[in-house]
Amino acid sequence: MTGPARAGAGPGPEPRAPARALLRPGALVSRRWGRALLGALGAGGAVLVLELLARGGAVDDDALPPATSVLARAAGMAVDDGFLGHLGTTVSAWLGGLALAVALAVPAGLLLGSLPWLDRAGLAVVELARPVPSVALIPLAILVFAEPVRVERSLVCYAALWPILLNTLYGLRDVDPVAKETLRAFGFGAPAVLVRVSLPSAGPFVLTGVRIAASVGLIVAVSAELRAGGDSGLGVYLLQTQSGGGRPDLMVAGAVWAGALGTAANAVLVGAGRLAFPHSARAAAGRGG
Amino acid sequence: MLDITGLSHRYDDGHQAVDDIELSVEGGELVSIVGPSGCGKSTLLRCVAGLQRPSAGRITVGGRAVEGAVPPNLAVVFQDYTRSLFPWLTVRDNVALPLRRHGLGRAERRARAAKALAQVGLDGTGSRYPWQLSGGMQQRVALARALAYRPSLLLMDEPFGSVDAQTREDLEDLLLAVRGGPAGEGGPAGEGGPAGEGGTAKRPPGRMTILLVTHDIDESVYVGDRVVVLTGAPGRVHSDLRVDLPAPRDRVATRGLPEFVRLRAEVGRAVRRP
Repeated sequence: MTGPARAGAGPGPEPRAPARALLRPGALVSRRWGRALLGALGAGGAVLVLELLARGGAVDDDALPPATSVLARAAGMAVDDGFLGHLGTTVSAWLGGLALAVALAVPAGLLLGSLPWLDRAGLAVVELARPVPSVALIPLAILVFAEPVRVERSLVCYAALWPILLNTLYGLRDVDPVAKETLRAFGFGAPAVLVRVSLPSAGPFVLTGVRIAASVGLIVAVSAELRAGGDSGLGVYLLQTQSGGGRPDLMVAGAVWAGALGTAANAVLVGAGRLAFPHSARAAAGRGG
Repeated sequence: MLDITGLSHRYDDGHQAVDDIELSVEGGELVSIVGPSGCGKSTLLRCVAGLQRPSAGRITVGGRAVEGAVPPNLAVVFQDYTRSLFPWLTVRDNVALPLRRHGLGRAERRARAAKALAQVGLDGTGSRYPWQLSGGMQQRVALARALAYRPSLLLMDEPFGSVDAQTREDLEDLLLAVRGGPAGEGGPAGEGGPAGEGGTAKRPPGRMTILLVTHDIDESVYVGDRVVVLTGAPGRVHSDLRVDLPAPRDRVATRGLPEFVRLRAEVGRAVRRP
């Protein structure tokens, strides 16, 4: 990103904009490394504290196993086919529901956002439906869909719809009228303006909506598995570790995996955003500094 | 080329922006529009561009009525390049995007964009993003985008109002340099059909007709063939002055001519008198 900007700096007779000082790779990289180092220190510290609490006897070993043994269990589960089967079920229901939500919410947002009268009517429905917690709909979903995987996927989809829809709407509201008029003045019609200006301009907002939806969706996916049962899924695995006296180390290790899923999804979406919308990544870097 | 008769516009909030404007622009002319702020200069431009349907009056571009639809072969350069250039596209793609309207293939669009960028002295910047360039360079990208489109009518809304004085003078000279051959040689580019069609693509286009809105009196005289002064709100045509200054204009010599000084004073008086 910043590479070509420096390499091609030759021909412009004008002085460079001061804003570009922020884009010097050196400055950005060292700041990023510094942040990563602090993050690693924080995570390591937390593990250390948990370890000391458990080993020192401050907390009952059965309630909170030492951090190192939990992490060892979690690492071991990476090669455990049984656990990976559970994990796969959750991931596929979660991502499936999320994809369905994107496919529904983005077009709906574009439609609502470009037709003002529909926007007003649609928002009323959104405001009514949005506060209903997805987990409150678990019994209904079980009744309607019966099959656990479908229950899970539909609930994830429901929960993920709202953040994506609302962010798409806000993103469209934020599109610069001058940018739209620029294209209109070149004779482009409303559909072309929507696709070529509104959509890319709202893109970073939509992506933020998807990021929020991903984390909400994971909560709902695991909750649905805990309640709806079925024979596979991270929630089902957690229920199984509960039976027969319980295995807190496996339980917490399962939770660690759930957390890792959420972190990975977030990292992938942030990275995708940087690639797809370099201008907004630049804005974010500017704010960070 | 451009005929405006009885143009009035009143916004929904009751504000009367322009009132009964009459204006006729010949093909190849560069007409500066000046007036006190809030005199409806931008409203006038937006009506010509078909972005705003006027309450009353008639506008024809190349003999065709505008009537709230954007006329073909028209390009607009806005004041605020940071908002008018698309930050998610590279400089090259920004310039090439409007050419889709001409039904050109990708290679042809890119070639035209590269040529227009070279015209404004920005070769080699095509793969950068607009926000990686200075303000003056960004406004040159906006100008290149308009040039690549090969409009017969170019509308400019305070195009150099957001850059420093030195850059502003550079851009004024650039505009005069890129507006095409001398008046009378050839007609407005591509009038009556898509620009760049057939054999005209190879030849340098005829001189563009330009309507330039500015609040800078000096600039209006320096670049203009004519200066139209509007009255304060609601805007009416106060005076219409022909600028008889020799071409090519020179930023030092032209401004030293007695005729330039006289015109600048006359426009200044007209702008200040309600």
